[in-house]
Amino acid sequence: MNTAAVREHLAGLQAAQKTLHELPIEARVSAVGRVLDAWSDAGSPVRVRLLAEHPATSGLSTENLAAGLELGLRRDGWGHAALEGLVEREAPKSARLAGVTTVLHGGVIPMPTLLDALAPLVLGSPVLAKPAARDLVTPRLLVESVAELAPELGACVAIADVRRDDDAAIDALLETERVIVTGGDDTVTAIRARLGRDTKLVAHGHKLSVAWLGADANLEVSAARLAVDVATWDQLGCLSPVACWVEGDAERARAFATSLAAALEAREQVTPRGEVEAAAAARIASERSDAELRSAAEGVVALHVGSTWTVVAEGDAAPRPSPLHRFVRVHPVATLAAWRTAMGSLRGHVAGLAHAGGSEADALELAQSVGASRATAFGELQTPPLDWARDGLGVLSALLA
Amino acid sequence: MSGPDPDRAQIDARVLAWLREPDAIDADPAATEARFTELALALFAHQFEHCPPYGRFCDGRGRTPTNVHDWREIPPVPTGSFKELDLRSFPAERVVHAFRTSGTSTERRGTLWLDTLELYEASLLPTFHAHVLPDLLERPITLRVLAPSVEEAPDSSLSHMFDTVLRAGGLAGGGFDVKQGRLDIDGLHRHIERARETGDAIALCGTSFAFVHWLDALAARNLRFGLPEGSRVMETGGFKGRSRVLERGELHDALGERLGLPPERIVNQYGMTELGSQFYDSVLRRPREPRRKLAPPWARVRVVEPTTGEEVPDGDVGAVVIVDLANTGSIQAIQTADLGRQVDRGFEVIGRDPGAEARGCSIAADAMLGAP
Repeated sequence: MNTAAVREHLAGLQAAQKTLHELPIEARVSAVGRVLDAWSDAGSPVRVRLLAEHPATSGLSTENLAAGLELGLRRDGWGHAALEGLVEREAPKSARLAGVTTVLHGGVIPMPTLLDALAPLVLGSPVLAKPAARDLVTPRLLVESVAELAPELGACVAIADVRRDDDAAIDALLETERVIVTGGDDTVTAIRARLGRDTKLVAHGHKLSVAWLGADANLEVSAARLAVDVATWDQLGCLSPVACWVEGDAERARAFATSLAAALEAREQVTPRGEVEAAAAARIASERSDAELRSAAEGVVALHVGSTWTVVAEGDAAPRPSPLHRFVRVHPVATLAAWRTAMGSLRGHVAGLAHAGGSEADALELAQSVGASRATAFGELQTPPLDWARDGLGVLSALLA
Repeated sequence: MSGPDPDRAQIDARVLAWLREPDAIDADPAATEARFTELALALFAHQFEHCPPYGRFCDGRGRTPTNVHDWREIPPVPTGSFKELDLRSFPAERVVHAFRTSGTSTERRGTLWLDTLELYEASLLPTFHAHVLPDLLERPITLRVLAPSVEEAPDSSLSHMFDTVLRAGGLAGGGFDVKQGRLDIDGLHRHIERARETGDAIALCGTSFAFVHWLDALAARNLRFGLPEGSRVMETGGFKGRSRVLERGELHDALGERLGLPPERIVNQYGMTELGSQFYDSVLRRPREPRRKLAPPWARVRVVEPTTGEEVPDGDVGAVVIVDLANTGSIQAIQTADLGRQVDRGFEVIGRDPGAEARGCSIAADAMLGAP
């Protein structure tokens, strides 16, 4: 799509805003709610098509996509009722956004793509969405399902499939009143630099998640649950744990690593890992060799390797690189205080914390100490509800602010 | 301090003899295969025995001097491991120098420990001359370096390399133009103007990010230079965290446009702190052939499938693995963090497209792991 086509889309969306604003918020919520009900129904035609079409561009396995959607896109957390609750909490009756919202999608996980495009519609702002390079399917199916299930909003959402090196077209995309972007720090910085002074930016940077295994947690059960958090979305989501800190000595951490390795192998049978690009494969190979070499040198590192997963039992609490794609490090840590110190370099980059053992209050305190916006038990990280404040930003309130 | 291990001394002497042979750089790698294999296997046996972590690492993979008969079977170590482990094949008390990878004061930096600089220097000189100054004897050339001097950056292998080239002589003049951490743009421009006045060729060599800073300054001043006939640029390294990020082609286009240089006068060097040898674009040395990186005969490059370590067919993308006989004091077989492909008896390094989108919204933890 070139610059002229972007401007044509924008003109159409600006014209459609009048109709959108004439709808009371209850009507907009009802319309978007119908769309969400369909997307959160595993048997709906749109979910069937998503499952059929998404893996070819995203590289995820069909089984993993199905499992991820089953965990994350449930009727109880993502349907009409959940949306009503969100609106009640975050949007006053009179809430109405002026102008069009540009959404620059990132990544391959459908839920944030869905929500970033639907939230502005709830608040009366038409949406021009640029799909992520590896997920062209979710935005397209969303536009189609809005047209079918919420025809009153059909003219209010469009796709701009703009080449990322087409500077003029990108600049035209960014001429809207607000921009929602998901991407790495470099992307967010580059977008911010190109925005006009009056354009509002809602940015979701790339983050990671971590896990804490308390002294009283059962190793086997915890390993099976953590394997679900790791394997879902092939560790490509910001709620995917890249490392687990085990309270206790190195021996306990090694025992947990052994259990986690077995659990990841079991997950591979159910939800096989998807495509791994050459660069990622090279990084995985390099980190495996590094662990092997450190094991040979120091004798305190243990490496577990499967055909698609890696678990490294580290000898200390210091975080190390994670190449993702089901690569987990397990660290021993003596105390919570030592863990907080070890997490110093990751603070502010953590989206979620999975915890096993200890109290809920402990978990919340741990999450706060690293700036995580989500804290759950093992096995539940990948089930964020519709109203999860990703990066601490309310789904609707961030747009209204 | 005791003398060097006799085996090692013998290997060093044999490698040095090769590096110092006139025209050694011009040898066809195929013609030197047997010589390379013999030396690589002798060096493997030495490093297996004298670098215990490496010996155990190889043992764990079932590769020992008794069953490794081809240099391609020598297990490589990843460059990242130089950040945490002392990968030396000599006792600590024999260390005479250390090169460190770049990074901030809080970052873990890789270290190459050296008990001699002789091999490093003997390898770099013929390679640099062959690929950057192949016409040195035909014309006077001034060399300006867009990198700090060894006095300012004693642990930089790149600064040491340029210092060695400048000390080796044969040049019309030269020196360093990064001073106290900043590119001395006015000073550099004076040297360029002087070269323009005399008509002598000038070779501008340095880090890629220094060239980006310079290009930005040239753009801000709306300046362009028509460099004298025979001038050239050699750039090396990445950008991340040091300047804005450009694709290699973009950098070369911008340099060509600002300096009036044709593409075949702009050379990228592929090197790393963990290696004693360097690899250069072929364009100055073999201007009529396609651009690719060439290895000196005493270093060999494999492109492998990352998971299996098996060599991929020519033209296919894989991980770059290098076996470098100049690394006698550390480990000769290095698994780099780069992707590449074999082409025309050379290789290409495939950098990650700086604008490429990630598939996920997760971030590889190394991006923010400043502190060890």
